[in-house]
Amino acid sequence: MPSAPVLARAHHAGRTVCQVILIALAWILADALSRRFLPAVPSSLLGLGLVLVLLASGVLRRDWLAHGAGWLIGEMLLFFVPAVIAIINYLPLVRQSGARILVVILVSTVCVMVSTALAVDLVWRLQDRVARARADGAQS
Amino acid sequence: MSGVAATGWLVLTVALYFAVKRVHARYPRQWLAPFIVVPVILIAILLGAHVPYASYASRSHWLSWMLGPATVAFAVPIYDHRAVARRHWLPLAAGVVVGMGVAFASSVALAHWLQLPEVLERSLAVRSISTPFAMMAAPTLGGTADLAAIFVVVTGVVGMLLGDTLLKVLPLRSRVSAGALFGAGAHAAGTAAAHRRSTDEGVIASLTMIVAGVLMVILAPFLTGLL
Repeated sequence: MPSAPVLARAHHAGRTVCQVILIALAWILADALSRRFLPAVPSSLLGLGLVLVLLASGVLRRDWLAHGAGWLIGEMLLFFVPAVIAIINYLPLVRQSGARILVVILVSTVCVMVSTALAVDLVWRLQDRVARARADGAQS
Repeated sequence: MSGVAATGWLVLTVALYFAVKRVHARYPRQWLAPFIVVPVILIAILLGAHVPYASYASRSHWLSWMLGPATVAFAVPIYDHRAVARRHWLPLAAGVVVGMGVAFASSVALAHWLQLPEVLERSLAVRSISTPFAMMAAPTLGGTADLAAIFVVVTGVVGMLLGDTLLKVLPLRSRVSAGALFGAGAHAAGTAAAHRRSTDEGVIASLTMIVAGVLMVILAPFLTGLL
């Protein structure tokens, strides 16, 4: 007779698997819709939008998806391992341009991080100032 | 190529991934992160054994297929954090638009200046967004999904290591901007780094990452016209 923790783990795993299948079905549905009617919208985005609308409208309950979604997002790295391994098809390219590619990635990533943070901070400060001015106006 | 061997590569990938994850949980060093160690070990094995990529990928492509459902799964965290998204939508929208504009323009300009081939330039342009989105956007722009995935991983490593240093130097007032910096610059790796700083920053980082990915995929067809 299996002990209680084993049963609990099996229950948890079973629920996660069912939810992953449900999300995969949503993706397959979105893929079919995208191919048939909306080739301009990528299937995954359509699926994401669809599930979000269904969650917001209460048709899908969060509990039906949350464990599966958490697992899919948490283990996402596993899913892109094959794409990264494809680097072995590009070895001459890496040998020839690897250093320059690194320079692009390094410099561009710094630019993206700095500009994003400054833009967010600037708008956040403006918003804060407007909110305070409104509060002052309401008080006087 | 026998089916058994192809299935073996799939099993090995999955087993290695979970093994490295356990080791990393036990010894949480950045360089032991599964997204660095797993590909490095597999590449070493494949190169050492002279296995062509096509044999490796003949079954393992099922893992890539899972990226579709994984993208759909992002609906749940967006739904969970809708209150944060509603409260900070304006600064975040500004950050994502500026960040993705800079990502695209700076990659293309730098790649051009360093005289990199066009396919590299176009695959580099999408590298700061999350992998499934980058793999969707790259072919639209004239890059390849494989190269984009590789550049995304390298960007994650770079961004994770640089983020904290940049935050020390930058004159930022809000926590929102720190989270956005990680989410826009270094996707999931950055989000993990932001989570280590605080939960708020982690939530902002993951929202920024998802919105940036969605925006890049939507804009890719229009950006092609600019190249």
